[in-house]
Amino acid sequence: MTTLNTANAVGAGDAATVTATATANTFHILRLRLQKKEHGRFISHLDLMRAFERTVRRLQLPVALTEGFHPHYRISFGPALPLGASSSAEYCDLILTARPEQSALLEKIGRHLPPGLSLIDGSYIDNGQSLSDFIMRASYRVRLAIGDFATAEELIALGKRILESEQFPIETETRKGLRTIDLRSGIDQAQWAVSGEELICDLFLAAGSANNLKPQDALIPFIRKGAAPNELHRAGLYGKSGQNWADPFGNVLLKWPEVKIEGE
Amino acid sequence: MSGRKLPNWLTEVSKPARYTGGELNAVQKDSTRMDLRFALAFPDVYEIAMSHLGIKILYEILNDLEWVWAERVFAPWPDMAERMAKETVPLYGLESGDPVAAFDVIGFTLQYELSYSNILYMLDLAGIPLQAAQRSEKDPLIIAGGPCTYNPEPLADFLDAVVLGEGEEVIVEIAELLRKLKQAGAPRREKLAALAGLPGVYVPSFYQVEYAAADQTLSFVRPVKPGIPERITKRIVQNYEAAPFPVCPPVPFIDIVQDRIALEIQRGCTRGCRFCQAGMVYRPVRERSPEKIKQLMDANICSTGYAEITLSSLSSADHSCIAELAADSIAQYGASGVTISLPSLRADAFSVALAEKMESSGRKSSLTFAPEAGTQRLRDVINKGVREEDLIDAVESATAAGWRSFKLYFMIGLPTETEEDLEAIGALARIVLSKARAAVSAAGAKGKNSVVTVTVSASTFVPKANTPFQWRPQDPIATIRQKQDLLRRVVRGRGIDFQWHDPETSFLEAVFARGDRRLGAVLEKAWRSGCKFDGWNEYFDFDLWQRAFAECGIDPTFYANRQRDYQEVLPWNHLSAGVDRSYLISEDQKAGQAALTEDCRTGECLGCGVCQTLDTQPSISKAVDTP
Repeated sequence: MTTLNTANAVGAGDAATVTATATANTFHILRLRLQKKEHGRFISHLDLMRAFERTVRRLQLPVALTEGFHPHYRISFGPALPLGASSSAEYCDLILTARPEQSALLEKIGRHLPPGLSLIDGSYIDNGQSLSDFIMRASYRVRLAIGDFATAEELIALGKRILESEQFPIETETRKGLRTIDLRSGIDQAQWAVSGEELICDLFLAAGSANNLKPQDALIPFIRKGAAPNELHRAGLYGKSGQNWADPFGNVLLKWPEVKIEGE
Repeated sequence: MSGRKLPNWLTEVSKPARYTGGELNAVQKDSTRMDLRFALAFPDVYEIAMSHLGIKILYEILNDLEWVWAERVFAPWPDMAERMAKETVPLYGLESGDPVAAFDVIGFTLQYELSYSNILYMLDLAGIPLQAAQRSEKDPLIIAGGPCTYNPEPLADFLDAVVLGEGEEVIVEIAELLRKLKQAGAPRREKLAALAGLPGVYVPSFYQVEYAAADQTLSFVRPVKPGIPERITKRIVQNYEAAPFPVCPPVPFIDIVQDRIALEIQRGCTRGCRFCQAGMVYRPVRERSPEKIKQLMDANICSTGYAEITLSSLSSADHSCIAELAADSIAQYGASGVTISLPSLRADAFSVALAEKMESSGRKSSLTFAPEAGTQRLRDVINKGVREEDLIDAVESATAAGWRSFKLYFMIGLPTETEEDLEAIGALARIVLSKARAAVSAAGAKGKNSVVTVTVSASTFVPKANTPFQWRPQDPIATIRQKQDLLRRVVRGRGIDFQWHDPETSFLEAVFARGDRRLGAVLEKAWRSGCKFDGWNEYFDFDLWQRAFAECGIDPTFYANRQRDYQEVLPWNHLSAGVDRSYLISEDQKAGQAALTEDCRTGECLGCGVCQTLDTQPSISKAVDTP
């Protein structure tokens, strides 16, 4: 990932700098970036959250509890990932009641995560937005097996056609039945390259609460042409830092795509 | 996960995390350095299998030995089995991903009869010959343990060896023996002979059975050669307090049936309910000390991160230190959001007070009591020491404490049952409802908080081996239907809900619970015609089973619905849970007179024979003053 080392860019720009949950001196937000790999990619988002809560309990980390009959840890995660996808961009925020020394704390968490998950990075966030307010984009790298129905060139042409259109409505099956979504509005940028029998797609998609396009939905037109995803990887999550895109630690994204699959 | 590559198609089967392994605390070893590879098999789906404590106990004991690698293997759901067949992936161990067919031993746990078809299903997926007699030197030894081994005869064709009783010690003896024999290059037959020499181990192929032409009952079961014991008695651990208990069990990623720490605080039960196999075969009762329990709790919370601990046993409220134990653990863990629970409740105010302590911070879900029968007479027949006033007391204190929803468990088809007993189930449900409503209005509750519901659940009695009712018939399916019809008429009204089960599954359970070796052919035929996951409604197919019985020329009612006399040679006569046959007979006779037998915790020794046979004694932490 190309980064700009800007210490003052944390959490980003002109947005509200204090979340309601993090009032001065009481709580400390620790933001973590986790990796999902190997069998970790078969862990659902909900199961990942539970596994992480259990890690917190095992380590007896000073994470704040919610009030009420069934108190639970105040931990929030970024957007969900489809089952089977690997990721080097699973972010979460821990609301802590104390402020243990950062590097020792990160080392401890990293050592005790369940297999399939690992810690890439982490930092206290002293003023910044919550993950859900901040995140607006996600980047993915997809390796598509080129099927028998279309050539690589035809698939690339299809991709270009999507990008050049004003709107690209497709029907997708949801739990509530068929729904029509506009792919174009969810695709910020995309890029294709052929590698052997595979088409490598880099996607920069809308993510988060305002607009969200699931990567598996973005691929529907290709899958309908016989392509099959061999691998789906989330490389990053981004929000705005002034005029630029930045990751949740505030590192500004200088150029896109710059997908690096960690640990591989 | 020893870096094995998981296929992408796993995303296309339901709940792929059932098949990946790699959970927290799952044990990885170097397979090239192992003297013995062991698979601990549970013939049901992951979520059920991972809820089972026995496998976790044995997993930790075996993996603590540096020369053996024990892995888990469970029944893949049919969508996965189909996919495995398509991809030519044989059944594999969850830890290594290696085919279990190449292991030294596969140990199945037999928890319920309706899982038997899944044993064949799993052997087939593994590519292992179903029949023990057809296995060759390269095949693993297939052994079994668990409660159903008190009559393993229907599975005799498929099992190389069976372990009776508690596995903690004998599993190490088995592993050591097989390691030695493997290193010496001993053939399969020699291994089996050596296993048969271990106390508590039964090798079915070393016994010959013969049936009487006249009435088809057994004439005898006897060893085919000298040196093989005529009778096998179950094993128990020498010292329960010191017995190994898991402190670092694997923690599933997906939600399972019992998604919590199950901490076994006591083994055995002294209540002596006459229908209850567990109450007979897990004798004598032994408690873990509160100190040991607390130590195990700490270790388990640290290693798993679970937020709930259940203090598990057959009757946890009977533990002599349960009140202090509950209070201490809540004081210690409550603040960090860890909840403590009990698996089931005795129907009395003491138990409700316990449950209240545990749930005081929480929302009151429903409370379950098991009176088992509607009248006092029938409760006395089965020796279920619950009086109506105990139940009412329990319900009233529970209502005062905030509970509004009650579940009452009954069994139908119990010995000597009449219409009056069934009608009394309806009456009891109405009494519970009205007492609870009275308590609610006395407490001044209003609106939604004043609504009381009583759910009556009636299961069908299944007579089991090694219980006082082992000679009794199960009611025929048609009779059970009539009884359910009657119950539907009498268990009704606003606030009362009635649940029942199809009698066919209970019938099949009864057939296999007291079946003999002739059922092996039926089981194989049924499995070949598609039977699997018989405990699951969506897969249970009674027609297929009936066809299998007919094609084998076997009348299943012979096993389920026939009264045996005390002289009959029962298929499990040579297998002992330590409880004397004479005691079982006297309990059965007392049942006929509706005479109660005291709890051996409080009364004097009942002479069931278990302590003498096993040279042991009950172990209670402190003298008891509550009933």
